[in-house]
Amino acid sequence: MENQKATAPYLEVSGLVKLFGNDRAVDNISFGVERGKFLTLLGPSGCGKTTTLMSIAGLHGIDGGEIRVGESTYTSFSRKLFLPPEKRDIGMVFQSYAIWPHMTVTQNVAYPLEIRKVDPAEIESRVADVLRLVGLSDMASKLATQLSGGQQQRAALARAIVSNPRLLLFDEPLSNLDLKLREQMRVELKRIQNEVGITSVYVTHDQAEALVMSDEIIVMSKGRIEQTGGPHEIYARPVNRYVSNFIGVANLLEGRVIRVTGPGRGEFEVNHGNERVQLPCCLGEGVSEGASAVLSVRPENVDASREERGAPRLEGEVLEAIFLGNCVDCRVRWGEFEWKVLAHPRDRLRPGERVFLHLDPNHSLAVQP
Amino acid sequence: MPPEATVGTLAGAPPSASRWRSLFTQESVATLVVSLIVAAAVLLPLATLVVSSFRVLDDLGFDTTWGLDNYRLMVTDHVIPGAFVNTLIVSSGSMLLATFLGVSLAWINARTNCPWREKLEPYNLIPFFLSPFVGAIAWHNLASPKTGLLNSFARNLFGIEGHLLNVDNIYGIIWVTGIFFAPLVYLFVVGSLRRMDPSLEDSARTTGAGLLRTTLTVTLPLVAPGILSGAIIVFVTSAGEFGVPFKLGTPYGVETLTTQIFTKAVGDDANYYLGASMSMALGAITAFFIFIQQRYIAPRSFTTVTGKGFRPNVLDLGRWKWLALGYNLTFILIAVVLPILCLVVVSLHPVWSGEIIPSDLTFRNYTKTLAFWRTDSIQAATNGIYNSFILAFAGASIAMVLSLVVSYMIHRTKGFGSRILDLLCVIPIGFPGIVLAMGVLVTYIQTPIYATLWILLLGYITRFFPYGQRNISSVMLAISEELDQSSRMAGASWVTTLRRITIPLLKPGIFAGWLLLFIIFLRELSISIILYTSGTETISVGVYYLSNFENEPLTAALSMAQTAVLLACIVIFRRAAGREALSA
Amino acid sequence: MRNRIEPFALKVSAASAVALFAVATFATAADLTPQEKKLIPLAKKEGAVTIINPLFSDRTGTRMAAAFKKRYGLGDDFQFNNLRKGTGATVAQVRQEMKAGKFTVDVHLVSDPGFFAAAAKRGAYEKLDSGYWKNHTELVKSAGQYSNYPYVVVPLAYTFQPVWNTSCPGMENFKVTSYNDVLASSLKGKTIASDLTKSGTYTNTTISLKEAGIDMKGIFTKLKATDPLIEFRTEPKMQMLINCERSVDMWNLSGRVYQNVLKKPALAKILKVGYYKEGQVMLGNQAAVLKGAQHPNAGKLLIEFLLSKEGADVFVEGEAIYTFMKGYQAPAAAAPYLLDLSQHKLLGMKDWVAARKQFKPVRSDWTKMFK
Repeated sequence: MENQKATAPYLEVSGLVKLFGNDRAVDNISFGVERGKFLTLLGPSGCGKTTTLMSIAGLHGIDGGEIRVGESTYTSFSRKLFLPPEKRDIGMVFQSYAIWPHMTVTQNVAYPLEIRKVDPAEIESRVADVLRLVGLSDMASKLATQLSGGQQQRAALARAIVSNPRLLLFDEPLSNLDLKLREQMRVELKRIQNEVGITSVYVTHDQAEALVMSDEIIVMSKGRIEQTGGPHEIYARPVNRYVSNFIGVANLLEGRVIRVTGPGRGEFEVNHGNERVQLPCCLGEGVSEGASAVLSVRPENVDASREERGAPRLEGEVLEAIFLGNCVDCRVRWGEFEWKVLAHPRDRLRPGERVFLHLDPNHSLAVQP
Repeated sequence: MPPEATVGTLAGAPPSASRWRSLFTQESVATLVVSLIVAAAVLLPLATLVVSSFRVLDDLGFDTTWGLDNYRLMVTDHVIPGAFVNTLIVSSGSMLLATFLGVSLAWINARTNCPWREKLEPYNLIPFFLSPFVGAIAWHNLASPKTGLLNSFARNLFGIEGHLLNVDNIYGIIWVTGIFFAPLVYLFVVGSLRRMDPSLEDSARTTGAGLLRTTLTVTLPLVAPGILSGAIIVFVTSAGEFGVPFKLGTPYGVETLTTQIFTKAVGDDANYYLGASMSMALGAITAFFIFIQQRYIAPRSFTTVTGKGFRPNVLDLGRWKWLALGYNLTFILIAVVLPILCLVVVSLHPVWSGEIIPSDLTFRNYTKTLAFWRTDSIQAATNGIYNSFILAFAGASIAMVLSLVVSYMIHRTKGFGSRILDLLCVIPIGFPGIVLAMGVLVTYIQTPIYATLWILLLGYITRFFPYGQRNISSVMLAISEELDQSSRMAGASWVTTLRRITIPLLKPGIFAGWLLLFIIFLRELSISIILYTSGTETISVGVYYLSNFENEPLTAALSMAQTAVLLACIVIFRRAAGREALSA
Repeated sequence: MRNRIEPFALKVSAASAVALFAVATFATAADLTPQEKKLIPLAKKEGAVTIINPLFSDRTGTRMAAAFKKRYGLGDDFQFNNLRKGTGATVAQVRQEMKAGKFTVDVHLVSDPGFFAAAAKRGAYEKLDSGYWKNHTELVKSAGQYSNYPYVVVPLAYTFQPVWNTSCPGMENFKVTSYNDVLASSLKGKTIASDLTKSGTYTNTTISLKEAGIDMKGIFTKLKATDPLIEFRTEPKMQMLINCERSVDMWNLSGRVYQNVLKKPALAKILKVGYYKEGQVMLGNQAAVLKGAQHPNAGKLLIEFLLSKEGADVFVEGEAIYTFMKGYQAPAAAAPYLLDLSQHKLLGMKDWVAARKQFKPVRSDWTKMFK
C-alpha cells in the first residue's frame, strides 16, 4: 500500500472463504478499503468477485473469515455472527439495475427512506436532491418500465445512495449498457461517488472501467487475489503473467532472467522457438536471477520502424495493419511469435513490409509466469 | 484459519447461542415451517396408503391381518385385471385423441391464416375448465343409444332404426376424455409454436422444402417435447379420471382402476385395503410417466424454443383455410356447444325419455337443486353449491400462499432444502386425486378434521397446490432475483420485501394461479367423493348424488348450474389474466 | 318459547293449543310410551340426530324431520340430518367410523345382517329399550328376518320385484308373476342384470332364493342369454326403464316406481310392477345406535319413531316400503305400490350372518358368468 497515513481500513475483509458445494468460489482472501475510497474487484466471470461482493452484502453466508465495516462486524465465521442484509446499511446497484417495475422512479428511490421511517417531507426533499444529482429530475413520476437502460441505471444509483449508506456496492452495473453509454456512465458514476463520498466496492470484468474509476483495484482469479494496487500500478507493474494479460494488452514472451544488472534491472533471455535474444528489462516483484519469467511489453511501448536502430535486433514482417485513426494496430511476425504493436499513423506500415522492433527497457517488465 | 476444517452450511452462519437470530430469522422460520407442512401433507397420506395396501380384510369386514393377498388378488380377481387393462386403453386412447386434436388446433391457431383464429382460441380452451364428469353426463344424454338426443334426432329426421351413436362404452369414455383434455395438449404446444424462431423454418424452406413439408419435418419435431409433455399429462390425467368412466363405463360393464378404487374405498363393495393396493398400482403408473416427463421431456422443451418475441411464420392455407375453420368450429361444437345445449334441454324436463316434450318443460329441477330456502330442495345439491364456493375460495387462497412461499424457497434459496421441496411439489401431480384422497382419508380419520370441510380442503390443497406453485414459479423465474435483493439492501426485512416487492411483482401469476385453482376446486370430484359426508357435499358430489338417487334431468340441472359458474370464471380469467397466464 | 317451558308442560300445552289448527298429525301425551317420554328431554338436550341410510329421499327426509320434531316437541332448532348413501357406502362409512372411534352418525339403517351381527358382537351398539318393538317381533320372525334386540331392530324392509315399461316396443301385454316370465328369450337385449358384486342385498336375495330351493344358476344362465345390461343402482336402472333403454328389470323396487310417478304422474300408466310366485325375499333394514355417537338418546328416540305408526306412515308414504308392524294399514297414496304380504310367499333366511360367508363364492360364480 502506497499511503503512509496508516489509518485502519473502513471495510475490512479477512480470510474470506465461500464454498459452493466442493467448489472454493472464494478462497481465503483479505483486503481493506479506506473510508471514502473506491475499490474495484476485477476479474473474469467465475473468479469470485461477485461472490465476494454478495458476502459483503450479506446476501449469502460465508464459510470462513470475517467482514467488518467501521466498528461493526457484519459476518464472522469463527464467532458465528451474521448480520442480516437489511441491517447492514449498504446501498447496492445491481447488474440488472433491479428497478422495481411496479413503482415509479420516485417510489423506487424513496423506498429505502420509507423503510427507515424517515419523515415524509424529508423523504421528498432528499429524493428530489438525489434525483437531481443523478440527472433524473424530469423522470421522477415515470414508471420504471418507461426508462431507458441508462436512466434505470441512474435510478438504481439514486436508490442506492439516497439513504447515505455506509457502503456502496456495485455489481457490474454497466455491463448491460451499450459502449457509448458505458463510457459516459463510467465518468458519471465516479463523479457522483466523489460527490457523496461513500466508500464503494465495484465489481467488473471490464478492465477499462476499473482503470477509469478506481482508487484501488484488486485483480482476482479462481477465488484468489492476484494483485492489489492503484490503477497505474496495476497497469504499469503487473505482478504476473495473468494480471499483465488481463489488464490491457501485452506482448508476453516466455523466457528467463539470466542476469541482474542493478536494482530492479536485469537481462531477459527470450526463449521462443529458435529465437534466442537477450533483452534488457525491469524486474517485477519476486523475479530473481535464473528464474523463468515472462517478459511483458505493452503494444504502445514497442516501436516499429523500417530502419534498424541497433541491438538487440528484432526483425519481423508486418502481417496486418489496421488504421484506427490515432494509431495503427499492427501484428508483426517474429519467428513464431506475433507482436502486437501500436504504431504511429505517419509511419504508414503496410502488410508484408519488413520492420525492426525496438523495446524500451524501462517499459519491458519481467514478471512471474 | 484453515478453511478445510469447516463444513459449509446453508445459512452460512451456523447456530449459536449468542446470536440465536441467525437461526430464527423470519425467512428461515417461515421456510422451515412451510417445508414441514408440505412434507407432511404430501408424504403422510402416501405412506399410509403403502402400509394399508399390505393389510388383508376378513369376511366380516372388521379385522385385518398382514399379507400380500391384496396384490395377489389384483392378478387373480375377475374384474381388477380387466380394469387395469381398461385404464391403459382409456388413457392411451384419450392421449392419442387429445394429442391429435390439441396439436392440430394449436397449429391452426398459431401458424395458419385460418379466419377468426384469435377469436376462436378462448373457445378451444373452454373444455379445460369444465368438469369432464359433467361432459360425460352431457354426452350420455346426447349419444346414448335410446335416450341420446342426437340418436333421437337421427331417428326422427332420417328414419334410422336403432341408433347412430353410442358413447356408453369404452370408446365413449375415450371420446369424452379426449375432447375434454385436448386443450391441455393445446396449451403445451401453442406457446412453443408461437415463440419459435422463424429462421429455423425459413432455413428449411430455402432448401426447397414446401410449406407443408416444412411443417411436418421441422416445425412439429421442434415442438415435439411440448407435444410429448402434453400427451403424457393427458395420459396421466385420464388414468386418474373418475367421473367419465363412472358415468359411461361402470353401468355398461367397463370398469377402470378409478371406478374400482372408488367402489373399494367408499362404494358398495368396501375393502379399503384392497383399494389401497389398487391405488398403489395406479399411482405407480402415473408417477412413472410424470417422472419421465419431468426428468427427460420438460427440460428439453426450453432448448428448441428461444425466448425472444418472434413474429411466427403464418402458413397461407388458401381455400383450405375454410376447412381449417370448419374443423375448429366442429371441435367447439362437440366439446362445448352441444354438451351445454343438451344439458339445458334435459334439465327442463321432469323426466327424460330421449324426446323433447314441449308441454313438459319446467324449471322445477332448478328450484329443487338451487333454491336452498325451499323445503323441497335437495340438500346434497344446495349444500354442495355452498360448500364448493367456500372450499374453492379458501382452498385457492391458502394454496396460493403456500405456493408463494414454496416457490420463493425453490427459486430464491439455494441448497438441498429447495431441491427436496421441488421434488415434493411434483409428487402430488404424479398421483390421481382419488389415490391421494384415499391416503388422506385414512391418515386423518381419527383427527377432528374428519367429516368436516377441513379434510376436503386439505385434500384439495395437497393435490393441487403444485398447479398454483407452477404459475407463480413461471413468473418468478422471469423476475430477477436482484429485485428482491435490492429491497433487502435498501434495509427492508424479508417479510417487508415479500409484502412490498415480491408479491406485487408476482400479482399476475398469483391471480392467474388463484383463479385456476378456484376453477379446479369448484368442479373437483374424485377427492370430494372419497372425503365427503353429510353436510360436506360439493357441487360435483351433488351431481353424483343426483345421478345415483335421482334422475337425469335433476342431474343435468345441477350440472348446468356448475357449468354456468365455471363459464363465468373463465370470462373473469380471460379479462384478468390474459392469454399468457393460461399456459400450464 | 320451547327453551323456557319444561318438556312435560310443553306437551300438554302444545297438544291443546295447536290442536285448534293442526288436528290430524298431532300426538297427545297419551300416545307416547314411557320409554319415549324418558328419551325426549335427553334428546332435546342433545339437540340433533343424524341417520345414515340408503333409502330416504330428500322429500321423505324433510317430512320425517318435521314429523319427528312435532311428535316429540323438539322445536325448530333441533337438527335432523338425513344422510343418504348407497347400501355398501353406508356400511363402509359406519365401519370406518367404528374403527376410527370417531362418529358423525348416530343411527344407521341399512340391510346388512352380517355387518350388524359382527358389530353387535364387538359391543359397538347402545342398548335399546323400546316400547314398540313388541309390535314387530311376530312378523319379523315369520318373515325370516334377522334382529338382535336390544341392540339391533328392524324398522322396515323392501323386496326386489320385477318392473317393466309397457310403452317400450313389444311390451304391451307383458306380465310377470314368475321368474320364467322375465327370462324369456324374446326379451333379448331388453333386460338388466343386477350387479351382485356391488350389492349385499342382491347377494342376499340370491342366497335366500337358493336356500328356498330355487335354481339360481339356471336363472342367471337364462338371464345371461338375454344379453342384459349390468348395473346395480336401482335408480339408474329405473331411468333405463323409463326411457326404454331397457324394457324390464328383474330386481327393482316398487318404491322407485312410486317416486318417479310423483315426479311425472303419466308414468303410472306405463311403469308396471310384478311379483314372483316362487317367493319374495324380504330384505329387512336393520337399525342401531352407535356406542360413542354424539346424540345417543336422540338416536334411540329416532328408532322409536321409526317403529311407531306415525313414523311408519312417513316412510311408507314416501318410499313405498314395508314395516313389520302388526295390523299396520299403509297410507292410501302408497298402497297401490305395496304387495299384500299375506297373499305372497315371503322368503327370509335361517341364518343371515352365516350367509355372509357365502358372499365370496356366490359373487364369484356370478362374476364368472357375467363379467
